[in-house]
Amino acid sequence: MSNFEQFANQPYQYGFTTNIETDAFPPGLDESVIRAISEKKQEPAFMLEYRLKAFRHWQTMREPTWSAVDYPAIDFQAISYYAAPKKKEVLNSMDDVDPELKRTFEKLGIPLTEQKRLANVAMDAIFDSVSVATTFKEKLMEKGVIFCPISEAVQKYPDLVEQYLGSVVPHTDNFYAALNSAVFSDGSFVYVPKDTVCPMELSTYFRINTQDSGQFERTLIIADTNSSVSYLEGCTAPAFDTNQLHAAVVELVALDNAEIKYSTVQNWYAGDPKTGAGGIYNFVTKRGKCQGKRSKISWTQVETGSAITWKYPSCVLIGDESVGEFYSVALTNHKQQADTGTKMIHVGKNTTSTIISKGISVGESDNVYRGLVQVNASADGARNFTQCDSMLIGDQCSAKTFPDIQTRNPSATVEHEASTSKIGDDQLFYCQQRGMTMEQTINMIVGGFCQSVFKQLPMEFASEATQLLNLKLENSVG
Amino acid sequence: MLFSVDRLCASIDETPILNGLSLSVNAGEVHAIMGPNGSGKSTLAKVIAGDETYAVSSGSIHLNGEALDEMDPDERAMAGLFLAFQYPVEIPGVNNADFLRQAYNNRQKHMGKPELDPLDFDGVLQTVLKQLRMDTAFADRDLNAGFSGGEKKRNEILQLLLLNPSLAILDETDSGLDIDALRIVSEGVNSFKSDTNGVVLITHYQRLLDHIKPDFVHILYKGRIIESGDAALAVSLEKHGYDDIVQAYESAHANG
Amino acid sequence: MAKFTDLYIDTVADTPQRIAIDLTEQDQTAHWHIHLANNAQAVVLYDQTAGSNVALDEHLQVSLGENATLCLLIQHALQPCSTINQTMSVTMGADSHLTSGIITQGGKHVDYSATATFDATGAHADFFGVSKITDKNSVNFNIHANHSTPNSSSNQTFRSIVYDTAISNHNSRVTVGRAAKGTLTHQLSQHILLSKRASGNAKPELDILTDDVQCNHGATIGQLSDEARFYLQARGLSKTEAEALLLNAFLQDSLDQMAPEPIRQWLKPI
Repeated sequence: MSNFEQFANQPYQYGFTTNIETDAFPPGLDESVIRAISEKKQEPAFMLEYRLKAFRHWQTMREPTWSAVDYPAIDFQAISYYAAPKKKEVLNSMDDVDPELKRTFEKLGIPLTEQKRLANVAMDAIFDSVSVATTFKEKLMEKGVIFCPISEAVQKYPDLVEQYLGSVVPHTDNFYAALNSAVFSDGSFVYVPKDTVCPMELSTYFRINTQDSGQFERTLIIADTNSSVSYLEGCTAPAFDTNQLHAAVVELVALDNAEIKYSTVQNWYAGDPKTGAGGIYNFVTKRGKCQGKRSKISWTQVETGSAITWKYPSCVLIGDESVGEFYSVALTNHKQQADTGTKMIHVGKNTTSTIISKGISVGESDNVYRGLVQVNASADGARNFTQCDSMLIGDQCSAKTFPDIQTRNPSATVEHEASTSKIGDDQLFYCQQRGMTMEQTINMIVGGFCQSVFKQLPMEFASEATQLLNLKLENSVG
Repeated sequence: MLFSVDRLCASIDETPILNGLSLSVNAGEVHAIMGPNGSGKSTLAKVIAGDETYAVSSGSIHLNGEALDEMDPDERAMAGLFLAFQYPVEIPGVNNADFLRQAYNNRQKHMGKPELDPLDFDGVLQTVLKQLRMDTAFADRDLNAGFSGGEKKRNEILQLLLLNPSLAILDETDSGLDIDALRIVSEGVNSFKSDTNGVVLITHYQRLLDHIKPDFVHILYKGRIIESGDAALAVSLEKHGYDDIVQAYESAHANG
Repeated sequence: MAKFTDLYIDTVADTPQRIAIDLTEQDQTAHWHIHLANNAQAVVLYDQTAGSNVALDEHLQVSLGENATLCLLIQHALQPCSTINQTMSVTMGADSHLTSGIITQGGKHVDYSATATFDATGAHADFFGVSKITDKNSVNFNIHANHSTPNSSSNQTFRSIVYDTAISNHNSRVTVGRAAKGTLTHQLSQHILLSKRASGNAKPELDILTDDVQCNHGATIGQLSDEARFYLQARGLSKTEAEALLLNAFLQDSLDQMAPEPIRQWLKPI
């Protein structure tokens, strides 16, 4: 029996009962813990059954070892699987905030009031962040758009949750999805009703974020017929967490003629710049189902930071004429590792997918792109265009691309291009002769390299993303 | 003395290209450097601008009393040097206007003058675009990417006018230009010329010098200046070619 | 020419070497060498014909001396139910040049792998794989160009036409080590699928450890151009004739690149 199998079958050592008053469970995982989680959250029966089914399946699975990233073994029995939402420590003033964090805020041009909110500094009486969020929610309710924590959705909108949860990423999909399905703590739930354009970009900012971000977040976004929504995840300010393992699941469902745009700008902050200790393992399963005819799902991501990132946002193109898109910039520096990419699965007729991936490797980092384009036998007229470019800065880093193209339909058209580049000496010289420093030149050229992805981001994110990239490229070339 | 090069020796991959080249330019002067292919004309321009592909073994370069020799290319630019490239490189994805504004603001900052925000800079940019009869849409395109040869050269002169350096070196700016473009570019250079700056024109052909009148003409051969004169020298070259001058030089030097 | 005898060439050969293997009776296993000394040049044309139900397991080691040039073309004419498993490993000497082509049709399963190791500077290799696959047959091309020294280059080009329920896999890999500055590589995989249940798969992989290189790859899966077909039909060709012509042209382009004029006649129609 492997070590993992031993752990999975170990009886829970704390002799747990269902009636628990404490705020956090001791570490460890077995069926009674799952029941306790569900009860604490006061979930309806279907939800408990879903969790149990997932947990039992997880116990039969093996942790995957195929990716190119390197990380120390995770002890699943050492994690606590429930913690009552606790408020983050409130600081008295900006003076109490970590100076490194403050410096980053300034570099990113984040306004002071926003800095205070992110660092959880007590707000002045005059400016009340809660009232901003309240106005926002009212606007959404007018249109019938539901945007709330998933734990609330399970209670208030159980039919919707039961219908769609697990319909895009079944609990059997992979090891981390199974674990997440069993123990997920919280996340976002969005439902946009028929014929509705969501009036504003939904951002995780507005989920009143006084809690530590959960380890096992679950997000479900449903766009009903003829509707559209744009959702922003993450922010450019450094996100740091004591939790090392993040195994999130994001499911998107787009019905006929609906459109979902999901943008992520992530900057994980390691805590210790020298040793990288406390680095975050970010294993996320993100998938969109283009269920309806002419539906569209776009994933746009800018990934930087000291995480070990392992995620493949994907689209399953079921509805005829549906469209899937993936735009990504992944920057790795120092000793970071990124193994990321996408899967586009063409099932319906006349479906289209576009993949533009830009990888930038600096320092001693490893940047891996893995893309699958699969055209099933049923996918008449499928079209894919993929452009995957790597920029290497210096000769200590690496860039790997592993595309996998599988076609089973004779009327499909697939075009894939990839190239590698560096910042040309002649380009550097030209810019320097025009008075630009080496740093300004690199920022400008790398920014130019990422243009086709950045212009897909909602405007506020686009300028933040450029600043973020510049920050991360600092001191990148000797 | 605005600008001087003193017995400069430089090589690339161990092959010597400049062999003791000297040049002096006073404020208000236009100097033309001509010479057969392979004489070292472009190398001279790049070495002065600080291109590290070339190794300088001896000699020195001064601008406004400052020695440029230890300076990086961007520091030389801040010191007041401008090079209009013979083959301006393309940098796709970089917006032309953003690039120009960054270069302009760097110079402003260095001179202790206020930097301009995008809106104010656009006003300045549009004026110069008009002067060079370039389309306003030019600003939105990517830096030199997809530009015709002539457009690239005009983009170089656009930058010259915006950055207003102390010394401008124009490396074969006239090559690839049709008659109209040549006239517009020359007008631009002439409007830049003043009694506080200097211009060095590197050219193969006399015709540019019909439009931008040189005060001095130098012949570059095998990495050094072998003859200097005034505008009449260029006219004579046009008629007789380089042969006479080169042969005279060779026989003089063959004898030790 | 006896089959499976090592070939050692130290001159500039003026006529191509022809090797033929006819596997009619029984399975064969072979391990042999082609070695070109410094400055040698040779063209080796290798015909493999196989009867039904036979299997060939072959490993060929090729080494090229400094400035040597080799054109090695393998042509398969296989009966149904035959299986070919061929691996080739190549060591490229400084400034050497290799053109390696494989043209295959028929046969239940063909697995062709080649690894080229660029150990010295200035070497260049062109790999071509051309296949026409029918019935339930399958063909795998697996080529790996491993660049570890500066200023070498390689191209990999694969073209396949897939019918019925056949399967084609193009696995193309380029590795560029830290010291291999100035490496230039290109990979191109092209498929045309001609039936609803044919499969065409491509995995063009890049593993790059230094910045001063130019590595591109492209993969396309598509159909015959409607415009071209219409043009031919408008000139009086039937639809079938037009399609046959276009399919032929698709493969012929690769054949032209791998076999210059005098050798081209050796190539059988595909």
